[in-house]
Order: sequence, then structure tokens, then C-alpha cells
Amino acid sequence: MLTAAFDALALILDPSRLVFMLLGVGVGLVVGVIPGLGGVVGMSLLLPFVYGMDPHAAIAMLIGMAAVIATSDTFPSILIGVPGSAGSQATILDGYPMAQQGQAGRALSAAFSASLVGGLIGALVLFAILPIARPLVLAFQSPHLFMFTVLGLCFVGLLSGKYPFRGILATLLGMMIAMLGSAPTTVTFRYVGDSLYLMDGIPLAILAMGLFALPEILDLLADNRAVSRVKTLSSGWKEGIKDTVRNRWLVLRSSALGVTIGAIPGLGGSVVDWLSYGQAVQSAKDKTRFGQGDVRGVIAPESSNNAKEGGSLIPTMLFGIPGSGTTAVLLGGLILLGIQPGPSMLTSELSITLTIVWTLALANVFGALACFALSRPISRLSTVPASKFAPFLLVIMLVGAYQNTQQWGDLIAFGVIGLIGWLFKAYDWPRAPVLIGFVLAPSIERYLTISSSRYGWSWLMDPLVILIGIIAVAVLIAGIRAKQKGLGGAS
Amino acid sequence: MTQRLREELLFILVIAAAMVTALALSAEFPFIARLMPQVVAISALILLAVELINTWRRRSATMAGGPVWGSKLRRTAPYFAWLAALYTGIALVGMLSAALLFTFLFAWRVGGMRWWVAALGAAALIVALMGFGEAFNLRWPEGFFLDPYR
Repeated sequence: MLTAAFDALALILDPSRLVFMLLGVGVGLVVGVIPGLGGVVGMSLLLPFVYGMDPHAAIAMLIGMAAVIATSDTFPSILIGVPGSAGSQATILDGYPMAQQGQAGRALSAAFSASLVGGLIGALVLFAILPIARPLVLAFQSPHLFMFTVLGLCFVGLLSGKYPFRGILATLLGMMIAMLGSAPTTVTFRYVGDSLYLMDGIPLAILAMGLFALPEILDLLADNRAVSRVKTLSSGWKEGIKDTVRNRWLVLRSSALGVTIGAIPGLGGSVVDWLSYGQAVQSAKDKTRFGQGDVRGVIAPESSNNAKEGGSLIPTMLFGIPGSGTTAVLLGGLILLGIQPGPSMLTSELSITLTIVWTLALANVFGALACFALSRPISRLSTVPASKFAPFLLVIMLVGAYQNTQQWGDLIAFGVIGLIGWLFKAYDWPRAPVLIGFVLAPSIERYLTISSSRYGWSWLMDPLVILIGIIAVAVLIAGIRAKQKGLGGAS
Repeated sequence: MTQRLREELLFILVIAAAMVTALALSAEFPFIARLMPQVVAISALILLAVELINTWRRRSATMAGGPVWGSKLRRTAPYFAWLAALYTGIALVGMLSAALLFTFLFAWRVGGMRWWVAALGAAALIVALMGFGEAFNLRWPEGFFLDPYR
């Protein structure tokens, strides 16, 4: 295995292939920085170019792109409070307040160093777990996946601003928004009326941008200020790296969580940052700074969302089951290249598998270095008054929103959700749980239906289901108690 | 009762009305399709009742927030108007032309940039958008009347 690994490294370091990996890294950096785009969009953009390419070069390009999005999407999350992609939503909770306090440099530096470590751990785990992954992945059945999703929702109790009931209510609202459109198990269109646009539901990117970006920009304009409330950026670049080193156990825990969640097909990258943030809050002795600019709230989601890329490749390569939207498109790319994911990835196609592992590791290093190099000029954006960049950002967001289905409905949905987001912000209702409720609703409904139809109600007695259920209840009770004691405050 | 408290209670009632509507509409769906909406709507209605009581009990704390339908809305309304103008512009002349006009006018009038800097910025944005459009096969909303790119 080690000999094969070094052979694969030699293959990927060949200049003709390395250049394609760097090209993928470059595209990933751009796609990550633009709010609303993400791994799926980036992968879709590159996919048409892989026809006829050398498989190693093509895979290096695709994986290189996917690996760095989780690093570069930190820029918009921290600097303007808009998630660059689905996996960087939780970073906003503490990253954006840090930018407002003039600590954008420290937040970005901590995020990139944590991302680098997380990405490398993801690649390492992917390499180590390949021979033993099969029984592990098959161990999770739909009841367990259902309970994992419920657990994800329960963490919302900890992430829900000052008032825990509003957090849970916001989650339910998000779930209700997700139910617009076709039901997953029957041919029924719910709450769509005569609208053709709503039949496919509201796209996640529009909900995220509408809830977070538009209200934030409107408030910045109304208050006539920049993102950062202080005039000068802190020189906390070294401090950010030190923060990551100081919180090394948090990085390791979050990375392990990222790989595990990433490896569970369908649970996806939109959840992992929230779960990781939740465990960071839970495990912290002093919870008072979370939501107000605690660097641990940046480190935890950033290390996990990079690590999850390695995890999500496990079911993709070994079973042909994509672990996320991005890997679903990657799967299409592998098939286009004539590679059939499955057990052969550990035998005849082992060099391809190891190329993927090496690319994941190298792309994380190159991506983090590029982000460090770019972060100083880009973070200066947070001191520019909103009225100077708002028109450009508004146009870019509208263009991004329109790319979802390329219908006027995208623009209308963006505006309406933006107004709802503004009201939520004005009345002190947390917006993040709306997003997580929206993301998890289809999974919850699908897993519940499958569990009930396949096992009746006997699945409730499954030991793992009970264990996850106990953890979920404990998380919920702890969250409500913490809020009552005034220890919470993440919003 | 302060205006802020009245607004917060009204906001909760509006959400409750949306949930009641969702619950009523879900009655027409088959069982498997209405199970989740009904569970969510009923849970939400129960929690909304709890939150309504909690908000009333916290009334002294909520006063600190200040009313939204007052100075906050007055400060934000001009920017809602700009956004509405951008939407109208897109509907009339299409995305690229409306974006060019909007970014130029906003950056010049609201952002306080010199007119030629605003014009350069707007032009650069449009060139970048067109470049991205070509590279990634992006599409723009077309105007209904005078869209030169239609």
C-alpha cells in the first residue's frame, strides 16, 4: 500500500498533472469566495472539461477544486457575514463578530490554519480507513441516519440566540419552508398553488443569501458603516495560528467529527459545521463568548468542514454512494472517465484512489497558502463603508440567485426571503436555525418514512438509536438550561 | 404595552397565522405527504404559544430593543426603494443594463464616489459579469422592453 501511495504521489507531482490540480485549486478559490456558489456549482463548471483528459489529471483538477472551497468560503463568512458555501454557515456566528471588532485578520488566520489541519486529517483518515471502511459505512441504517439528523436539529437549541424557544421555532419554520414543492415519497406538490417555480422548492443558496446577506447589507447601509466597527484591522495573523495550536484538541475533535459525518451518505456538508460548532460550545468551560466573537467558534466549523471532504469520499469511492452534493457530481465525473466506483477502487483502480488522497492533501496545503497570501488585501474590504461596495455586492448576489433555476422566481424568492430575514434580525429571532431546519428537513422526512415502512416502530428499540436519542435530549436540556442561566448568546 | 412589545407579539401572531394556514392546507394531502407538515405545524403552534407568553413576561427586557416600525424602518426604507428600483430596472431593460445603471448611480449618489470612479467600477463589474457569463455559461434575466442583450 505504501509503495502504491508513493507511486501515486510521483504521478500527481508530474508537472502536466500538477498544473491541472493548481487550476482546480484556483477555480475552487474563486467559487468559494463568491457567496451562493459552492462545491456543486464548481464541480459542475469543471465537469464538461474532463472529457478525454488523463484520468489522474482530471481527478486532480476536480478534487483540487472541491478541497479548497471549504477554505476559501471563509472569506465572505467572516468579512461580510454571508456564507460562501453551505459548509461555512456556522463560521459566521463568531467569525463575523470578530470582523466587526476589527479582528478579521485573526479570524481568517485561525480559520485557514484550522482548515489546513482539518483537510490533512481528512486525507489521512481517508487513506487509513480505505481498507476497513466497508463494514463501517454499511453499519449505519436509515433509523440511525434519522437520529443523527434529529441530533443535528437539537444542537440548534445551543445556537439559537438569547431565546431557546425562538431557535427551535426558527428550525421548524425552516423545515416548513423546505416542504414547499414536491413531497419526497409521493407525487404531491405541497403549498405551491399554481406556481411552477415553487414545484422544485426554494433553492438553498437563495435562502442562505436572502436570510443573511440582504438583511446585513441593508442594516450596514442604514447605519452607514463598514462591516468592521473599528477603523484598523488587528495584526492578529500570527495570533490566529497560535489560536489553532492552543485549541489543537478542538481541531482534532472537530476534524474527527467532520470525517465521520462526511462519511455518512446524505447527511452532507451543510450539517457538519453546525454539529462541530455545537460540540465546541458544549465542551467549552467558558461559553459566554460564543456568538460574540470567540475564535473557537471559527476553528471548530472550519476544521470539520475541510475534514469532511475526506470522509465524504469514502462512500463515494467504495460504494458509489455520494456523501454530499459535490461528491455526487464527482461520481458523474469518475464514470465519465471510465472509472466505476466500488471495491475495484481498492484493487485495479488503487492508483486513482491514492491520487485522490494525495490531491486532497496537497490541495489543502496550496489552498491554505493561497488564502493566507490573499487574506490581507481581501480583509481590508471589511473596513470599506457599505455604501461603496453594497451596489456591487447586491448585483452579484442577484446574479448568483438567478443562476439557481434561471427564472424570475429566483429573484422574487430572494427579495421575499431577504425581507423575512430583515424582520427576523430586527425582532431578535435567530436566522441560522431556519437554514439548518431547511437543510435537514428532507433527510428527516426521507429517513423517517424509510424507517417506518421498513421496520415499523421496532427501530425505536435499536441501541444506537436510543444512544443518539439520549444524546439529543441531553443536548436540548443542556441548551435550554444554559440559556436560562444566561450562558448562551450565540445568534 | 410598548410599541416594541406590540410589534413582537404581532410578529409571533403572523407566524402563527402562517402555521395555521399550512396546517389547514395540509389536510388535502395524502397521509404520507401531510405527516411532516402537520407534525411541524402543530409543534410550532405549541411553541409559539409558549413564546407568546415568554415575550409578554419579558416585556421590560424587550422594550430595550426599540420599535422597528419607527426610526429603523425610516433609516432602511431608502435602501428598500433602491432595491425595488433595481428589480424594476431588471424587468424593464434586463440585468446587465440595469446593473450598470444601478451600480453607477448608487456608488455615485449614495457611496459618494467621484462620478468617473463610479462609472469605472460599474463598467468593470459588467465586464466581469460578461466574462463570467461567457466562461461559465451564465444567464441573465431579460428585460421585457428595452433589453439590448435580449
